[in-house]
Amino acid sequence: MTQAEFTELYKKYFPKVFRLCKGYFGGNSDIATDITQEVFVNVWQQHETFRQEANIGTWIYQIAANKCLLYLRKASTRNEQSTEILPDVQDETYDTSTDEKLQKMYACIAQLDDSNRLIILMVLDGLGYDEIAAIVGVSEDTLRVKIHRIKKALTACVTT
Amino acid sequence: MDTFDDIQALWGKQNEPHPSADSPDKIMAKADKNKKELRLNHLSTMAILTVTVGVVIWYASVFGNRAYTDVTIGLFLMIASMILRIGFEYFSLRKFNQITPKNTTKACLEATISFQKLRRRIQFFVTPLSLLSYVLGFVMLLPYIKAGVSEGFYWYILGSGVVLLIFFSVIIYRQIKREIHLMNHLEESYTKLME
Repeated sequence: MTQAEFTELYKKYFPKVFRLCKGYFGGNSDIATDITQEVFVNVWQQHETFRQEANIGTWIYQIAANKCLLYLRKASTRNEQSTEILPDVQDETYDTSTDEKLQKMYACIAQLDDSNRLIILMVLDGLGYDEIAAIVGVSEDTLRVKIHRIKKALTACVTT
Repeated sequence: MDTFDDIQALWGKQNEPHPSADSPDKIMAKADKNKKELRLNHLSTMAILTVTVGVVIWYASVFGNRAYTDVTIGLFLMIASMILRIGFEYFSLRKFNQITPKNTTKACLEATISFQKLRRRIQFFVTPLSLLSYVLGFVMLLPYIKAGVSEGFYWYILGSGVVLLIFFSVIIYRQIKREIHLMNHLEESYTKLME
């Protein structure tokens, strides 16, 4: 991988990885920024080991998902996750209640267990089931059932 | 917001994030620097461990047959316990860093759980052994310290030795407790993933 190719990858995937990490850590931008940078440090350090026949996006998401999961080993932040820092919103239909809704959504996502949180964040970001299955390492059938359950739980939490 | 589609639509309303992160150039430079630092760190730790072990062996071979055998053994036990502990932590860290994040979540969780299990087994064996070795070495040295220093200083050494031992025991206890908590958490994550 050349430096130019890395820069392209960085531009394309930084927002996606950042959003995944931010969702995982309950809206905490600081932790999300740290982890996202770590992910790309890893990508650059290990790009030689990347198999060309694999999907680079899947590879990056795998690193990101595992970095988020193992962050707990680095620091006991599980109970310190903040929902104070919320994302900016872009939409003409934006109203003040959007902030509250987003805050509630982040809080509901934070209530899910680790792996379910990662899965639903990838669903929210529009990844296909086949891609998520490859990242997580479970069969598509299992994933389908899981996602159905997570969607139900998240919707119930957000609407109450 | 009544359906999951509403939630997804809301998620999509967020701006493309522009975090205050380093630029790609800085990330690449940081990655290369990290790699070099890791290698340097590894080499220097190995050098320190080798030199310390060398000094201990040299000391034992030079003074081992002299009159103060208990002093030699005592010192050796104390130093050996520390080397054992540092070595264990260092190799443990290296082994953890070898768990590659570029794997499926399932495989990464499996590798981490297996690493933590190994660490827990070693922790329950190596830690008491090194503490025992340290205490034994210290106790063996006490009569010689008493004979060589004033009474006040002797009590100071004894007191500070006990305080240090309690301090390190508390740190190790908390570390083990944290690792057990982490282990349970990882196992729970794995079970949930496979449900």
